[in-house]
Amino acid sequence: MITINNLGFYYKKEKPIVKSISTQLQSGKIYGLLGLNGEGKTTLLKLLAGLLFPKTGVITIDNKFPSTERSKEYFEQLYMVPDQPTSSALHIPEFIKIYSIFYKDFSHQLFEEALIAFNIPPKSKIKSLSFGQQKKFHLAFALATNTKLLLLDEPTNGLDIPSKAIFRKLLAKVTDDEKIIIISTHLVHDIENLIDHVLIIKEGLLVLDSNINAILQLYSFGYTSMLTDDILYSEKSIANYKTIRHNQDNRETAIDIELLFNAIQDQKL
Amino acid sequence: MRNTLKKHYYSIREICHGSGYISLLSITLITLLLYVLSLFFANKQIIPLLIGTLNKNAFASNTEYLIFLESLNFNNELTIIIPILCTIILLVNPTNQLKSNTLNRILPIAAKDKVISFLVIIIGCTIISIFITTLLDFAIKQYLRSKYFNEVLTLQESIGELYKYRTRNGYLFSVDYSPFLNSTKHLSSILILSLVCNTLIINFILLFQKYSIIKGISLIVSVLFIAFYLRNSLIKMNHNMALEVTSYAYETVYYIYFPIMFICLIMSFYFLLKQKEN
Repeated sequence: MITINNLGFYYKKEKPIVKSISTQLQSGKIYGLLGLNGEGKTTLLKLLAGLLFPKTGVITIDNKFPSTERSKEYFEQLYMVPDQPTSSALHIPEFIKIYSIFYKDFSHQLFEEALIAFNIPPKSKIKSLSFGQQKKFHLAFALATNTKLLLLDEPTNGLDIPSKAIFRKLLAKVTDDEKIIIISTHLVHDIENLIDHVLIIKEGLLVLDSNINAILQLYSFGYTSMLTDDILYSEKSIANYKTIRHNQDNRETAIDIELLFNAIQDQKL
Repeated sequence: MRNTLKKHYYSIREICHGSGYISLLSITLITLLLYVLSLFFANKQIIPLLIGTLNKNAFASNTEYLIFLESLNFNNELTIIIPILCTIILLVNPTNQLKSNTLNRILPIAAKDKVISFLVIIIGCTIISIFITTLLDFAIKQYLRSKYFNEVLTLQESIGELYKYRTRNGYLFSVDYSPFLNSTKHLSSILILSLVCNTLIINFILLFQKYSIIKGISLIVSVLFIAFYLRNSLIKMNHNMALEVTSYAYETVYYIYFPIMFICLIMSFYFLLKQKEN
């Protein structure tokens, strides 16, 4: 479990990026971290990774290791794939030999399976791969580390359409009761069917911190051709309207995260 | 104990082959390049020597050629800084990675272990580079002596100097010439200097976001300028007293001030690893 307590961060005091965020991230869940550009998604991931230090508050893993300690024990529990991972001049086998040793649960089998699934030549030089292939290689490495906390910043950005599906399959495969996976993305449709919990950041605050089931108990998502008063939020689609209503009759609907996100941005929910 | 050694081995391997390009080959190549450059910068005789080797008729007369050979002084003081420069060049990349590469920054290696790994690499690179510099210098001098020594004797005989006394210290064809470099005599001083310079550069790279080495050097020059200004002002205030630099003063710098400075830099490096944000 990761505990975030009263977390605040700024580069300039008069312009805070993260303001007083408190939450608990539970093991065994995949979190979708959403927000507009510059709202603090990457900053929150960096704070969780210990790359930045909170100006206020604290982040701990299992109430034992605070992020600000930057201890070996803290880093052993996490891996982060940034939006644009740094390229390496090494060949893949050399990279694995040098870096996998630092992660005690690293799965060579899973890594090889991921490379095959992503169709990356296993002996290639990392620098000679395209941006998308490098991203896939880093995702494969991240999934194979088997760390407790996996932070993925825009993981599907730069991936071709089949690779997005492969990534979803691999992510579903590595998920277990011990892991916490946080995915920050703008491409919500890529991960819509994977996430258990939605975190939406707006103006540095966590305006939504709820699991999908709880959202679906509160709201129903659907389509209509006629707008009525009970509709909380609607968006025009090609032939009709996409809507969000209160789920008064406990109907089971599929969540539309993009619609939910837009409704929250418009302060309709 | 075995686990600690293994841990350091993995960390050193990551710095040398993962973040950097540090190997016996790269140390040799950089040392060789710096040695050749130092020959051109420090030794004005290298170009006439090259011309003379290719075509001795380039000299106006045999006497001029003899004078040139007799005055050939191959003591290259710059060889002392080659191992230090070589180590700095090799460590720039791994240090930059510590600052900017996410993978590198979240590697589960304790900050103290990273510091130790960097120190081991600095010492290792410096010693290997000293060894290669010494070997290169020795080989070139031996080659020149074997090639030209008899020629010098013949030229001297041809102008009637049969028993010329050749103990001009430091000159390549003097009888008491020592082919060993200054660097081998001052191994500990070079090591201390290399540790200080390298940790200083590492601190600058971690401290400044952009143009770190230029900013760091500017900072040192500014501090030195202020120090010299203050020193001169103090001397004037004390009735223009003269300061004598003795060997004791040099030893104080090497064995007291530099180690203190080095310890401060190590602490700074450790805390930058623990606290530096991006």
